[in-house]
Amino acid sequence: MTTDSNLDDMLRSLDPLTEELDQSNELRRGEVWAAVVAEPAPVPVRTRVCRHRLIGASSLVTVAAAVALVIGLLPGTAPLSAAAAALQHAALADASSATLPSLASGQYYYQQSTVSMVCQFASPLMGQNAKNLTYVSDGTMQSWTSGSGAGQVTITPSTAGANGSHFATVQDEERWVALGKPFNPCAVMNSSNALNNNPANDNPQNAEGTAGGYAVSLLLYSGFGFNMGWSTQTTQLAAGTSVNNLPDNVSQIASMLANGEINFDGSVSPSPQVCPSGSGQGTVGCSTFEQLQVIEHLLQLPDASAKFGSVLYQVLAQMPGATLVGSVTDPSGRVGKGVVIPIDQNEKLEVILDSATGALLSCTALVADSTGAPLAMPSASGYSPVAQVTFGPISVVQGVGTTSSSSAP
Amino acid sequence: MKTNRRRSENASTPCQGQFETFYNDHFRAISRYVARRIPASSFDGVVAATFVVAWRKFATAPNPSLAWLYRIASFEVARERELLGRQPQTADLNDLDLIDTTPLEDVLDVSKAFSQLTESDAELLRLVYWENLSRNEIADVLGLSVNAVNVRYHRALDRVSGAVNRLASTARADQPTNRNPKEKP
Repeated sequence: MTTDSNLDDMLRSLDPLTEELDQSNELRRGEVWAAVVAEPAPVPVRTRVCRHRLIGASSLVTVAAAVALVIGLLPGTAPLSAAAAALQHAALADASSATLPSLASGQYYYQQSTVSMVCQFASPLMGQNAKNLTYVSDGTMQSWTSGSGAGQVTITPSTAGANGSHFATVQDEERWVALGKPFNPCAVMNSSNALNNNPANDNPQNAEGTAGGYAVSLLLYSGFGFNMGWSTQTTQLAAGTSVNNLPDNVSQIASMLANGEINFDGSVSPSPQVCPSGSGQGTVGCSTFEQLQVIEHLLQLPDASAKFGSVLYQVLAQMPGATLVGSVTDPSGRVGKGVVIPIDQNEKLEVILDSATGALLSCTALVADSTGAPLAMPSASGYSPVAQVTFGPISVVQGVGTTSSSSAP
Repeated sequence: MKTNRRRSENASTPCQGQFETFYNDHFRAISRYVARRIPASSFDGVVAATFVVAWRKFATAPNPSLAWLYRIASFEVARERELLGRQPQTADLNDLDLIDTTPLEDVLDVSKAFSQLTESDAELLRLVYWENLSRNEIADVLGLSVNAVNVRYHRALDRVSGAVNRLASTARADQPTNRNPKEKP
């Protein structure tokens, strides 16, 4: 008969790792590291720049100032490129967007938008060199903004297969089915989409797997200032006031942005800093991309909408290589003008603007197919979308959480 | 993963320097984990694949830790085993670190009993006795509650113990009862 302590000792003695093998493996440390870093570098997790239209009451009284600001930005008599002209038009329209109805006490501006993120995963059931499966996760973004700027932003991930969430291609879905529908970590994006007992995530070959299943790899691309979460995410908005301390002069603001002196919340640092995004890793100042990140955050501050809305378009228009791609259709089927702005050699930002009003319809982050990033699918242009926001119309509602439009006051 | 339109923390970019420190801190533990589970010929590939996956997730992982790495390594080991088309290695006699006070037969019985466990039971015992992880750490690695780990651990031990006793009983039953077998004519 075996005693408990004997059993413990004997189980330990089954350890097949010998001291010699352990020491020999330790000598492999350098070579294994070389193999790790020989792999393509991971895709940076970045915050995409996109004009999120949170319109505050302060916009209503600063239309003239905003228009004047835009006009002041026009680069003298130099001819505008088609893309710059489209963006200038959008900047003007941005000011006119403040013609939204004013809000009565307790009312909020409400906007519902669609967020799309590309995600890739591999299952243990797949061969070692098998191509990842690609899934597109959709979610809904709702924002409520009061006249004071207070409010709420809620992002609700879609359940598996719902509201547009889908495998990127028919071939991806067919491979997933043929594998026995292994655990899909990209589809586990809602509290109702439980890991266990969900047919979409059920893996009969891995009944005892962790949390109802597992994947061997998962690549997500976050963008536009947020990641798709595992469940509904709510952020409270407080009225921002610090942006009022920023200058109106665009060149001054541009200089401060380049020097890393403007923080995400609109507060000002006294001297050139490491960019608030931190991705510069110690380098003082912000790259153009990082400046766009800061502006994107500032635009979430209702007080900053009129002040900075046109600045963003100006920054885009001044970026070298901005091109007008002409008439394009956004994910909601709306036709607009597309402008593509190179971010760096592997990344582009496409904005689609309403042809008539210049209002922003959608933003799409595009990444080169060759980067190893999770891509919806390789495209003929060599770039594929990784993240997208499609903006809905703005209406007036009676409170946070309500979505039905009321008549304008 | 978090969603925050006005978050004050920064979007992050994978930093090779930080990850190199992370690698050096945990290489030994992961190399031991992998060496215990796959043939030496696959060692470099599986350890490297573990850290490649970790690097890709490093910037977005909420809490990169050794338990998190073990979890990634477990997926890579599973993939490798599938590729090799073999079951988890059982200890060979030559590999056993025999304990002087333990009869060889008992050790062999435990080895046999261990090989009869389900993979999930065996893996839990490996984490306890070979990796010397705490119940909390094992819960993180396996994605279970600590309570579930405790329950599974005791059940797994009972199964080993039961199997050992059955093997011992069978061995006794197989011993010849006629101490003076009749000589053949």
